[in-house]
Amino acid sequence: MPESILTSAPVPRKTMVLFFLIDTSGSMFGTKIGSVNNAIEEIIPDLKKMSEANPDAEIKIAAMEFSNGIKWVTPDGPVSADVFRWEPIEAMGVTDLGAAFTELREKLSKSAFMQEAAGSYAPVIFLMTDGEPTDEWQKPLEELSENKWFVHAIKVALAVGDDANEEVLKKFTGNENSVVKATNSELLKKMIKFVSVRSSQVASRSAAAVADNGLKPTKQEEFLDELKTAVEEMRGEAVVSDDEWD
Amino acid sequence: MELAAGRVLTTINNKTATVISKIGEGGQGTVYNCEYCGKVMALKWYHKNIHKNPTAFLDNLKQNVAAGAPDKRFLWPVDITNDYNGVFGYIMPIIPPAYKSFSSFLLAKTRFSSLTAMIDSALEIITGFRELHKKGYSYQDINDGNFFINPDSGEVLICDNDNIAPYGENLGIAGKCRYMAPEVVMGQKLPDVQTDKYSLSVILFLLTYMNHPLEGKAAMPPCMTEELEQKIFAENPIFIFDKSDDTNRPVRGVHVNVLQRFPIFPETLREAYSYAFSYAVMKNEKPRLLEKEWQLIYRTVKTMIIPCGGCGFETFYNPAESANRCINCGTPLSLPITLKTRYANIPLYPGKYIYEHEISETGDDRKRVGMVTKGSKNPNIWGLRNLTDEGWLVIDTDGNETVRNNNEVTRIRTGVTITFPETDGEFIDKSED
Ligand SMILES: Nc1ncnc2c1ncn2[C@@H]1O[C@H](COP(=O)(O)OP(=O)(O)OP(=O)(O)O)[C@@H](O)[C@H]1O
Ligand SMILES: [Zn+2]
Repeated sequence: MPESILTSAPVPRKTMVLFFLIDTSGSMFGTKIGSVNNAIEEIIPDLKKMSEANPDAEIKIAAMEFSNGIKWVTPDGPVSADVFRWEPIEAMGVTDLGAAFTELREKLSKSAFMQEAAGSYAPVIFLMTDGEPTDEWQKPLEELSENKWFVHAIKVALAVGDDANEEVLKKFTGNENSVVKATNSELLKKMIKFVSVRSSQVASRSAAAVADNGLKPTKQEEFLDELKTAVEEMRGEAVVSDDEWD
Repeated sequence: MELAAGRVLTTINNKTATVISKIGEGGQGTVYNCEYCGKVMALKWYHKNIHKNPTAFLDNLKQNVAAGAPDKRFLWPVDITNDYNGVFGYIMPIIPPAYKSFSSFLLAKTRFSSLTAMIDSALEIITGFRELHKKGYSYQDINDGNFFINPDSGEVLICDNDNIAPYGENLGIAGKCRYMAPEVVMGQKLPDVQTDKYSLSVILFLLTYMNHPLEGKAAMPPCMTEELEQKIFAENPIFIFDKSDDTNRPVRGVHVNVLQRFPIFPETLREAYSYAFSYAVMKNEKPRLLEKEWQLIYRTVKTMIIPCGGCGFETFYNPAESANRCINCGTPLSLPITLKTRYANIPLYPGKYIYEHEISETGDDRKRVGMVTKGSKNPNIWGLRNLTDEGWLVIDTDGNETVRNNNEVTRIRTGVTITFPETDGEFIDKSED
């Protein structure tokens, strides 16, 4: 039976990988890691919906936990949001952030996690941590900063509670507007949702025309502006919850 | 702020909208079902602080609501909610379930049920924009998210009409770079009617070939950044079938649809797109094709559609070409006779409809004016039934004149002419030219 010409393949689309780097050190134990698990689990269906309906970009997820060393939740590379399932992760051990940087640099390569036939958009890298790095992190971050995927990525860091070293996070993102802080599980969930969903849309969103200064803002800049306003608003309306982490 | 079911919102026209349920999320807002004036409508509820200049945006939206839809294909805003702590939304008609998003066609989750439906949908999109521009508006942010298409009838609905502004105005949106005119991507110009025409050509190409016109091998860097997008889609745009530059050809195994379709779809389309995506036209150094021109091109192509005797699927048949083959199965095609008018050269076969645009310059491309029938006793005798209310003067080869009124049939024979209201038509034997 000949096939109709209308029986075609989908248009080729690029991939957008959302990286989660999650601190699973002992201090995250309890409501912190519980809320992270819950938040990520709940945004997966949203990401799936966005990916399924988006001919510009397929959304894939890669997740790494770091404590005593690192472990990929997705060891075989980024997984399509369509089929991704979040298995809750546990918290225990120290905070080997340097090891996480080194590992991320290795995987941000065409011969590792970034090998898509039709190419990829610059990824989103979302780091969540609640404390001080316990290993050497400066050299690994310097090296990571030379990786071109990392350079072009949208980088957001979430400080969980008051004890995270925000200076380290600013160095990681290279921008203080992309470091946000959640002091209770309600805020944490809202921020994870906002960052994951909205950053994944950046590659395929409509750009603004011209800013007040006469320059055309990049979509990344626009996203960071929106993040800033959104965070202020979340803080404004956050209910005082009984699990304030200070 | 999410809206709960049952939430009642008041509007600027002193009506109420009661939220029913959430339909989906977009980049700028969330869409809900709501009850409005006794009907189920859609409510687009914006995210907070999404507009660069909220006052101008709202004023424009109000003007659009007051002016009404420029064409039935636009899901036009009908009312706007009042402001709720800096958040508001607008109400529009709901998309009926038979219409599927253009995205779902691109992702091959929905398919046209016929070639006619596909070509008709292109014509619907063209006509919609022609009407919009005629009324003095520009759309500004044409992209794949704006169209809903009925895969069986080819009918189109155009949504996201909130950035539409009168000629010369812009609401601060530039668009999605893959659909934007190069000068807009470069920040040299704000979107307007001219840049809409570029975006329209991208949409039509995607619809027809299931591939982006600029996405070939040069558009596959491992890491696509905003700078590279600017280069590929604006600074140095190269059509994947550019006649003098082959650096961006489609890649086998990746750009499969366009590799299959481009060479076997009608020459008329190849020529149109080769012009529309030539470097000078993309860079706005030569004029872009007008909606009127696109309409002619797709109308010509619509006339070429015939069913294949081999596989039964619809294919294109160009009477001016000697060797026509089915685009689906490759069977050689030949048809004995055409009806030639000033506007079209129509291949005839039993069951074929003649459309108004084929006999009138201002005609509609969906309105049927005639139909080819076959004799009940002798199926080799074909006739043309008049489906209009006006009489057609028929002159046979001996000069005898008769008038065929509504529902009457003229026998199809070489050399017979018909005087339609605006043009003459003649039956031409293909083997003679
Ligand atoms: N009038 C409508 N009737 C029914 N469903 C609609 C209507 N308008 C939008 N939708 C659906 O709601 C969802 C969100 O639409 P929306 O237009 O906000 O998304 P979008 O294209 O990402 O827009 P934008 O980026 O402009 O906000 C989509 O799934 C769309 O199919
Ligand atoms: Zn065939």
